[in-house]
Amino acid sequence: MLQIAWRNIWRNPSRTLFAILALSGAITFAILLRATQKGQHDSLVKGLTSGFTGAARIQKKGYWEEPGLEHSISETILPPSYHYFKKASPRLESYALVNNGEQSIPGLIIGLKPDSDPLVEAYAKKLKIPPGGLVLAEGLSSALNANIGDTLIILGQGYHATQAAGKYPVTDILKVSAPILNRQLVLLDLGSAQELFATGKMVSGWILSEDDHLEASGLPEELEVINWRTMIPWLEQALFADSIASLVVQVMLYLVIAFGLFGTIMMMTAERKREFQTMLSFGCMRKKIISMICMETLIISLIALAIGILVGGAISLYGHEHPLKYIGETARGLENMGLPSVIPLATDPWIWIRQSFAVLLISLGLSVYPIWYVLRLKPIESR
Amino acid sequence: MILALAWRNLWRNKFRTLITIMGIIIGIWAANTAMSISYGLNEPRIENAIQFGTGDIQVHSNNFRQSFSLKDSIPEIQSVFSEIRTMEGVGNLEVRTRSIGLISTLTNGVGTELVGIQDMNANVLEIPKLITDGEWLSEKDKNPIILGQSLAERLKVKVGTKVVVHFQGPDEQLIAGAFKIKGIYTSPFPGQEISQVFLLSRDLESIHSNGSIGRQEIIIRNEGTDQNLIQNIQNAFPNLTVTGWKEAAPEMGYTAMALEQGMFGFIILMVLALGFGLANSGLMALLERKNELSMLRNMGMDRIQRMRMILTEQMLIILFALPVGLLLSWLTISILGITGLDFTAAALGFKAFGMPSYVYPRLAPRVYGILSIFVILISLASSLFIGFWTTRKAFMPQKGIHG
Repeated sequence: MLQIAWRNIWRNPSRTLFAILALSGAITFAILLRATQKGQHDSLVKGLTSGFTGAARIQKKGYWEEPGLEHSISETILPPSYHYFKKASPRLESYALVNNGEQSIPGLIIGLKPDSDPLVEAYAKKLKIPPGGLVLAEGLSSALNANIGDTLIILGQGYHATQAAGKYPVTDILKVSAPILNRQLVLLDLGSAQELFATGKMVSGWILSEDDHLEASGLPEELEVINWRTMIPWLEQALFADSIASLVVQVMLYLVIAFGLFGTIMMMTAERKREFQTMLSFGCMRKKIISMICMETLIISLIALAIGILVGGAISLYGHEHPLKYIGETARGLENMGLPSVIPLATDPWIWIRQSFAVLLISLGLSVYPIWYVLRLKPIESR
Repeated sequence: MILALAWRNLWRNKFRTLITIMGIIIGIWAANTAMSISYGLNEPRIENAIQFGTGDIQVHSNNFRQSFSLKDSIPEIQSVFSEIRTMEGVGNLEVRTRSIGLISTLTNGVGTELVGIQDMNANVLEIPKLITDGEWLSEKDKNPIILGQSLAERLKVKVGTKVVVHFQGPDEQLIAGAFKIKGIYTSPFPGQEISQVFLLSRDLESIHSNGSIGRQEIIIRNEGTDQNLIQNIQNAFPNLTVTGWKEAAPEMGYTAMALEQGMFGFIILMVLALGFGLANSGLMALLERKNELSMLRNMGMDRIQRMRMILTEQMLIILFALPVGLLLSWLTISILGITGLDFTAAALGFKAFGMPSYVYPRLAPRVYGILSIFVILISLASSLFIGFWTTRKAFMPQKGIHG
């Protein structure tokens, strides 16, 4: 039977070609849709978390809900054996007043390690944060009328209600996308911040630039891991709504694909009416014809699967290196805020596998039609 | 002649024609419906942001959006206010005091935006609707303040607690005043609860005690953000900065725009898949008609005529499919727009994201048009391809009719 199926496939090569084309095209489209969706979400998250929150942070339990110097934790508590130890960059954060000699403005003071913090990494230009110097967000610098080289005073409350006060030269100015942060952000070297707030070797937490499969296992009892979903609720909501809408589009794509495949299968079956009838008239059992059709479907599917994954995967890889660009006002707005204005396609191989199997499932489901067709076929009419 | 031939060809094989018609109808329907569901999911979120957070249009002095300082107030704001009120397309509007400050208790302090309300009954932004504990501001109280639920939790305060508000006066002196929490609000606009507190302009003024603190903002509602209206107001007041909601909440605004553009892209991808399917099954159908086409050629029909015949067939199909597809989309969207699409059963966790699990699809007529034109263009392109491919010389068998 396998032999007959194999010969059937090559007896009419153009028909087979169209079937393979239909199925592999469907797989390619399904892969591309998902890769673009995921790529868009990934790039938006990366752009929007690199400013302040980080993609994830390790902190004392409950710190995000109730921040403050009193809830900081010892720098040495994060065990070097923890899987993400190397990627985690420590920070000390608190509010204090920034004074230029004439006026004071409340600022969010962040002490960080300039060589490992994702915030610094996010800006192509390496920020200059030497020990004892400070970096101002652009909005705050214009409100304070402060330029690089000016000296500012930070005044506030330190650890255990001590007085925190220090004098720092402005060493750099930073453009921040979020308007509120742009009016508040002040960056210091971690050591200087610890000295300012008299916390000793304590930190508010550790920042990570990715949140993939981040787990709390291996962390001491008092620490927890939170990610951007907790920290930027509007983004979580926006992406959630978008993924539901994407899901709808995906279902519609499957519908369109199913319809295209159904059309192809129907026409192929109709074309072969005579052939099947002849086989029936010669006394071939319906069971055998059906198993022949199934084998043909399987062979065509496997070839199409390989081609579909190859083409879809290749385009995804290309689209990752040569990303799609947003157009018009959207692109300008994103660029103005320092957010990525392109969509690099996702290259996760799981997408290729999941999507191709989804399409394959549809095609196998549809191959019920030729089976049903053969089952009700009457041999007598054939001539 | 060609029209008659095409018409008869279509009826000769009803089954094949029906498949193509159905394909285009499904394409139009799927594109419109998917887009309407996307709008239904996303627009309420944006409306929340506009209704409670940003308004449709904001007017500030030029420097304000950088400084957020009381000193950057709008000069002669009452006359600006009256003039904008008479402009066409302007709905409700309100004057507010805006600045940033630090809210603190004995143990904790958080930086936030201070929003000073001048007219408690204006309520252009419907914050009073959001009060879940206590009451909205009133003239009778002394130094009342409204905090968001998350901020109250962070500061561990409740209705009746006193908090200290630090802010900078227009003369750049730091001022502190004690306020009593009058109410707590819960906002569907994520992040607002932390970032905005509401108090009375009058109280900021009396704490400052050193003359007027000015007014920094006029906030305007209209029917949908109208880019022309923003431009008109800007033209009328060249010395002020007029911004739409997108600039007021730029991260959210441009993310929303990026996602909308992406959604259009996905739907275009879906329609391309449809075009691919149509081309594919169309070519297969014409494979069957090899003999017919060869015969027509042998009878003296040239390539252009044959292509015209095939294209006319496709045009007839599109002419029939377009109105049906549009009607079907319009019916689906209108009915779902009233009944709502219930996602509760899908258990996707709408509740956890603070979203209602009923989605009301909606689609602007303009978008119906854009999407349908796109489906038509793609199906035309696929028929052109079919026509071109099947009229090639190589496609024809040597003999017109098999013996």
